[in-house]
Amino acid sequence: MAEVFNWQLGREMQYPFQAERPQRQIAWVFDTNKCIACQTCTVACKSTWTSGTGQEYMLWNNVETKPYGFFPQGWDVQLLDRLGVVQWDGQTYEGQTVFESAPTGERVNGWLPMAEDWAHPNVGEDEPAGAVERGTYIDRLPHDTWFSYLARICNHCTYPACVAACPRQAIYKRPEDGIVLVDQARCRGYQECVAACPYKKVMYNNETRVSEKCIACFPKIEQGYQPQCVTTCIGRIRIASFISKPDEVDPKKPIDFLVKVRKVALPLYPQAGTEPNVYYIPPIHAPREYLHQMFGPGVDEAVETYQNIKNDPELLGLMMLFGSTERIMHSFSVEGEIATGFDEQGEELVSVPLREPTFIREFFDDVHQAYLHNIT
Amino acid sequence: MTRDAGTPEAGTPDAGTDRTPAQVDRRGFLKVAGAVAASTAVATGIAARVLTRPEPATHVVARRHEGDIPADHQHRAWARAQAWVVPLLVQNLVAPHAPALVIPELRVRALHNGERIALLVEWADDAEDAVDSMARFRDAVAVQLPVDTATTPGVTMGAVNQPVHIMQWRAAWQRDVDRGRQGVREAFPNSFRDAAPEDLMGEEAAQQFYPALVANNPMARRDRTSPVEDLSAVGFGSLTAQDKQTATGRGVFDRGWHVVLSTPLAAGEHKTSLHPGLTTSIAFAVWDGGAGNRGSRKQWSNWTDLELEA
Repeated sequence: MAEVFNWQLGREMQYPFQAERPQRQIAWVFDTNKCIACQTCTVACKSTWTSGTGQEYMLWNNVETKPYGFFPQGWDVQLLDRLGVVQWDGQTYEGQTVFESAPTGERVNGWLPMAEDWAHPNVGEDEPAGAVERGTYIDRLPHDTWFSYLARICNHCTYPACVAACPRQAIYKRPEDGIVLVDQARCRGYQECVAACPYKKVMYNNETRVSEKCIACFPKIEQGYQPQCVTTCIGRIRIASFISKPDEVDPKKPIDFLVKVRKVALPLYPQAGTEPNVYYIPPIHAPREYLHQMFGPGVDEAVETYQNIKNDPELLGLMMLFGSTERIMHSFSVEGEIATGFDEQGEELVSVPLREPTFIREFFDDVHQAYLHNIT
Repeated sequence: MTRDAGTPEAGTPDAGTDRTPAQVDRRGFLKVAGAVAASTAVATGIAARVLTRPEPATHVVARRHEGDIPADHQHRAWARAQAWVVPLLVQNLVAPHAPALVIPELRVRALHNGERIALLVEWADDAEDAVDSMARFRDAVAVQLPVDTATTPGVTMGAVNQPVHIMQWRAAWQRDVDRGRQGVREAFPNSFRDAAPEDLMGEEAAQQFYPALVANNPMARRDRTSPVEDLSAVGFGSLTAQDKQTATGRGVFDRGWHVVLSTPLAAGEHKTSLHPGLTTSIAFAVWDGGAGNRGSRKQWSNWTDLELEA
């Protein structure tokens, strides 16, 4: 075991080998508050990459309803069960990661889902956390009765459990962009990676007998474009760009701004210890206890910052740039009422207004003698 | 033993019993033979025959065989080769470990005909695990030889500058050979699909839907003709398929596996070259798919001697 620094845990941690950070790391931010679980991302990914025989069940991208939705069945419950009660001291994780808690003879504290665990990709859809009483009226945050959507892809972790678990180094993390790939020529189908990944985003191909995973649409990223799941999102909840190393921060970079400056986007189950590179703006209507368990100690600050967005033109401008261009936005600026995104050379990609023109109707419609649900 | 120990056949290895020569208690054997000698008039000759019985094997001896070596494990040629019992250990040297020793030993016989050498490897197993799919693993066995027959490389699947030649047989590959390429349809017989890519656009164009196939990964082969794969290794985790595949074999399940693995004595570059009269090293590994064995989760043996009868 080697000592590596995991900034999301605020400490050094044990990892099976001395992993070097990539020269660049691709990262994502998903705003869960805007997701409507339309599964357009899921379908875009599926039709692009996994329509072959043997890939039938594979969803490299999926959207599940929390708290009762999972793909595969119970993946995060299994993870939480293995790691025990989450223990944070401020920003420092006091508990053990999937590497540190690995039993003797194992590289990672993992579990291998059975075929039936993958058989119900949208189980629990739209199921609220509790019973809805007759006449329930939700007038406060967080909601007493709630569910929320969680869109998931491979986290292209800085310290991937799949890489650690493979006994024959058939999985690698690309130094040029941090994308984690299964070498399709070298894999011998042991499924150790499937068992190891805490997010269960490596999947076994039943026809070719090797494991496969989300490839971050690397042919697009290499050409300067964002992945399919990002560019097809009709709710414009996603952005993909590069994140700086832990000791660096560039407020002009969209991901740095969201993750390190405003700290509005948080890693999913950081306690696993893999340093995932998909960051989530937590659902503000879900109970805080649940969010703390899911996104770590930054939840309160993230929710507060997000709720104050109308007074934060930079954050608002950047959120408006989500989904406004297929190209990778390397930097952005907000001037007046206009937010602009730039490519790697600093050329303008797109400009958007901070506020869309809005017409507000009267709450009561005199013509039809009725109150209106939607007045904007 | 079900037969009278005094009968002449009892002097040959394993006759009338599942026990192997190594398991035969030699002193008990002589005691029974002695009792027979004392009580019957013809016993003297029989006892003498027992006493001149060959020493139990101390290593694997490949007996010379005239003509083609039978792939059928029930062929009587195999009965003439003495069985050597290989004790197995659970692999717990490198993670991930096998959790338990589920196959404690193998029985190995060997024959050569001057052109090829074949090993009959047998072990008891309750269930035939021959399907490769999600969280399901296949039974398998592997034979390991040093590429330089004068050396005994590390038990760690060789080492740098100590390459080993490995031949692995997998039950799933046997099924591919016996019944045609096995895939989703066989692993999930009740699954529904409208059309496979190859049905829509032909084999060639459909390859793009099978990434490992395009990458020439032997796991994904759709035209498998041998259930045995030639590999090389220079240490744990370095196992790589050989460019030229020359090993063949056949495995049959009958209350356990009976697997014949065969390779040319002159197998070619990066492989082990053998010749009659040579003594070198050999080692084994076996996997019980039903117990979750795969990769490093296996039973393995230390090196033992392999002698090719001159």
